Amino acid sequence: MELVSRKIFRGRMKGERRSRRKGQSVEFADFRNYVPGDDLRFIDWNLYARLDKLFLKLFLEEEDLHFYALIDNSDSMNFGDPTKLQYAKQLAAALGFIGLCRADRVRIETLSSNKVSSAPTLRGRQSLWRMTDYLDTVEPGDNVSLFDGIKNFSLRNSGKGILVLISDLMDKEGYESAFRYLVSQQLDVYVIQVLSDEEVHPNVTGDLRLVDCEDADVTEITVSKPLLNRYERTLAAFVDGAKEFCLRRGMSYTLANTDVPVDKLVSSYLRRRGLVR
Amino acid sequence: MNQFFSSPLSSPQWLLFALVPPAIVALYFLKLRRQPLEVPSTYLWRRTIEDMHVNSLWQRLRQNLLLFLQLLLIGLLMLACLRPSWRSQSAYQDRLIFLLDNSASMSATDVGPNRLEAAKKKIDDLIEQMDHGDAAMLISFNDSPYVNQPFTTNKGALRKALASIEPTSRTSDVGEALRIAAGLANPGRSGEASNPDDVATADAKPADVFVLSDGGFRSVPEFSWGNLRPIYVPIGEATAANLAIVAFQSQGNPSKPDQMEAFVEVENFSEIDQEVELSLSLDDNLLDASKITIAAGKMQGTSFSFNQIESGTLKIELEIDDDLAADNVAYAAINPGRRAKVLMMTDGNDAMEMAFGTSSAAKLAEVTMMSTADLASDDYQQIASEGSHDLIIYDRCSPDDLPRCNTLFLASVPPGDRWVQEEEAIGPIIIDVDGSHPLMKYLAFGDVQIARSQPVDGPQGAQILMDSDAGALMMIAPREGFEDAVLGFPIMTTDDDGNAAANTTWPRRTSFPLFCKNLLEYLGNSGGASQQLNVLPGAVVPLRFDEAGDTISVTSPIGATTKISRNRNNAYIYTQTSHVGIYDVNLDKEKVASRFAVNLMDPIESRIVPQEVFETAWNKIEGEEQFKPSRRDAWRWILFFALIVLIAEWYIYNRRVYL
Repeated sequence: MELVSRKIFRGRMKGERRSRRKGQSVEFADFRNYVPGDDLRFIDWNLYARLDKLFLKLFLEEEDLHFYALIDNSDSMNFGDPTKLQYAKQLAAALGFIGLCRADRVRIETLSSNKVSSAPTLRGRQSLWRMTDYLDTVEPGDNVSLFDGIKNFSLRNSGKGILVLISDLMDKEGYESAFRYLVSQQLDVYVIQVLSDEEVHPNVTGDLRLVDCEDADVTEITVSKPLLNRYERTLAAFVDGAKEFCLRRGMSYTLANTDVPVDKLVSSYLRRRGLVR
Repeated sequence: MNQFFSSPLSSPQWLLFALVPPAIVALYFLKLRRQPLEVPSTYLWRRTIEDMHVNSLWQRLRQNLLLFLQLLLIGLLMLACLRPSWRSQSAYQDRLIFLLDNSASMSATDVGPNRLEAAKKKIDDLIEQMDHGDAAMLISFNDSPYVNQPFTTNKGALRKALASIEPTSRTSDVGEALRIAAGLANPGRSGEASNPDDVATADAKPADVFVLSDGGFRSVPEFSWGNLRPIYVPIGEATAANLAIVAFQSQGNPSKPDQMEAFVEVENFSEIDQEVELSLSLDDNLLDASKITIAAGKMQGTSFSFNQIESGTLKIELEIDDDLAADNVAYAAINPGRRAKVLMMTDGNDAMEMAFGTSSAAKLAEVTMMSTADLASDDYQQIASEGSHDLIIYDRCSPDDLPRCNTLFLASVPPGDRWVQEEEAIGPIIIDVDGSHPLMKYLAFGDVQIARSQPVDGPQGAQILMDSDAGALMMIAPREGFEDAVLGFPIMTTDDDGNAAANTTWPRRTSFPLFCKNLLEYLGNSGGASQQLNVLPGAVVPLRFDEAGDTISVTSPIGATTKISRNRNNAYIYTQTSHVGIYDVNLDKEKVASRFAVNLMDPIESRIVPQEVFETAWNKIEGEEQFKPSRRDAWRWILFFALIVLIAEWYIYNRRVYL
């Protein structure tokens, strides 16, 4: 399997994927006229002998891909069974491993990480253990708004590549401004919204005082069938809104329920979305 | 309250009760303690309830659904405590008297499970609707009344007494029960009713009398309702069908001395012709069977012949499944013959002496003669006081004191002022003879002429056996377990010369020897093949045994044994004849000495179609056929509904999700 980008980016180092740039691989790509200053090593002398014209042999260049996984590690991710955060980490690890195998440049970050050093940049299959060690250190509890998190990320990583944002998007300030910020970056953005089953089908009864785990906001409800129906409609509208928003802006959106195993998500759902091949 | 509500709660209790709903509302507004629950984000919830507030009134109501259900529950409980009911305009008085017929005909099964149970159910409904403080009294009656429960306000006691009423095989007579019922409503007077200064001994307490019966009463009660308001509830279906054995008797066959005959008569009380099989068994062994067809409303008889037997139990059974089973079987006990001891005080009565002198009469009785002059003799005094004889006949004479036995007076009356001899009448014409009395059965008087007679008038309770245009010529009256019969004319008389002469043509008619036979059999308590005591259930049976000791024991068909002591009249009085069947009499020995049968051979009880009108001597009360207790309590239904509300509340509280 490999990670696929719908855009072809210029890598920094030689990798395993074909680049738009012509380079130094063994695979022949094209000829072009010699212009002064070209590397004489690439002149096709056989052609010169036959046609008495200088042509330059162009070879395909193979580059690496920058793969970023951005995990939301706010408190709200610490719900569900398995927790959404755990699910996000598994997903990031799976995608990261695919990238490592294809010699891509893999970097896994959390929304709250503001130090460059905190998240290692990984390359090569042997870096798997460093990646998992880093993921183990990711804990919930850093409540940073989506906008701030993405802004910080963008400031830290100006490069191009694939960004997989794994979050529940439950931000009272809304996800729109954060996503707009992302659009301005030259990134191939995949948004994976992770929701736990208790959010999709809340199993609650009675008179309840709902306390937000992040800002301790209180909402009083009396559970009734219409209320639950309306909640489900609100959730569906929210999900549809996010999908629509992403689609309009060339981002790919996927809803992931923690009930769906990560391997199935990667091998089936994301393959259909075109993130992996 | 009013007639729709009759609350069992007092005002302070209501006041306490009324505090409950405000308390519930107050609790709802004060607390509503919501359970805290931590969620990932209230973001979506907040947006959800913002949407919901658009139609908030209904939402608010839905949110307080439990409160409304609780208020509804309390409201229903309060309504139930008001005890609302539907009641007709004619509310009953606060004193009720239930007269429940438990005679044999009430065992009919035309209304399920039987009439008595149906009547008990109706009484139970009436007890149920009694108001707080209403008093009721329960009297069951058959041939005699029994107060099962005196006036009480205790419904439990009434129900218990009601449940204890069992069906009987007895006949029915409502008169005495009505008199008991009237006891409080129509209090007795201190003196004569016509006295203007008279005052009632107590305040009259009016009451409603419910008579639950099929109306088959022995006689029309001479009764005035007074302050009682009668409500007659006929029990039973007009279509009730019944076939009954109304007569069963066995006797020696006069033409064949070694044979016996059993006569049975069956009456069809239904409206269709019926063919039934009759089976006769002796000591539970089938003797004979016969099939007869009886037209609707008619009587049909048949007879069976069988070999002479000394003693045993005959049972005749009607093989039919009709509405009343008790009269489909009849018993007859055949006892070893017993000869009566008869004394005749006469100065010469050829006719009777001849009749008593026959061999047939000798089989029945041992008749001794004494002259009227012997009335003062010690022999006579001893016989009279000992009660060793069964019958003493006084021909134109009268003793100073009545003897301890049955008597027949010819042209004289017993001593004392109870019996009155009226003025002499010449050539009286016999109008009527009571053929149903055993003394007069099979007798025809159409060709009998009488020269001189002195009509008689007996004491209260006397029965006229022979009536003429001049007055009663023959009467019979009970006396302390004995019976006195008086014939108002002499058989023989003496003419002016002192010679015996016939006063009537009777001795030359066939009815005379028959009368003598009846006399020996009935008043003489004689045996013979036809000596069968046949009594109705509930009747008193006097038993006489010369050789018995001071006590005898009687075993009833249900196996209950009663010991009876000899009374001063030399008889044993057995009263517990409630059950139909054969009663065995033991004279302190293992062996059964005698038997008698108790049969429900009573056309009044067997005619089970209920009477539509209850008739007393002065009133006719229409039966309320469609009678239903008019007050219908609703509190049970309200409580039931409250229970449903409670269940709904519990369910909603636990599974609120579904609403």
